[in-house]
Amino acid sequence: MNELSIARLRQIMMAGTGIVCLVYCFLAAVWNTPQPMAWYIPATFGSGTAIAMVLTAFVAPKSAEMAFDEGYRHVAQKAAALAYWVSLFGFAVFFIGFKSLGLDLTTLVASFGTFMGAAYLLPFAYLDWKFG
Amino acid sequence: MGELLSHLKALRTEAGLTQAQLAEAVGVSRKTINTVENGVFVPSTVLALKLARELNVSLHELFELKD
Repeated sequence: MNELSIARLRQIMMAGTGIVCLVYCFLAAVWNTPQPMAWYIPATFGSGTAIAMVLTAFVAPKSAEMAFDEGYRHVAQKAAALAYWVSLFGFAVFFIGFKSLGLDLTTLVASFGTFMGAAYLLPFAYLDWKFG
Repeated sequence: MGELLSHLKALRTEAGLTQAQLAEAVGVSRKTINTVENGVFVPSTVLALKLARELNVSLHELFELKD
């Protein structure tokens, strides 16, 4: 397993988790329920991604170190900065939207929580794919 | 990276190294080497010094400021 395959695995898993978070967010808002699918599905995807990344450090430590180099940190910082502003903007949109539609607060928390996850994961996957 | 001019690609080729070989020698990914060569990413001082040491050139030969 070389550093490029680790980076590719990271992109795919983070993109997959981001999509699941976005779907969860969308369905929670549309169906007005905090649990539009089993609550542990986004959590499982997220944990699976984290576990897979940790495992690569055991299987191929040198390649993992190369895959998580300063180029990776550069991309992660850009994605985090973008996620911050998207989430801040999203907070206002979600709050106004839920208030005007009269949706439950628990739905707001579930929907916005998964939105925040997607706001980082999807830009990261895109920027990581574009980088290099 | 509009202000920094990189000569990494030319010096790497001159040294007879592939991107993968240079990446492994300095402990980063090929993607990072590629982005430094293409001017997409400005490397840290530590990485720049490692690259210079690996290619046996000075930092000024590797990078220069655009006028």
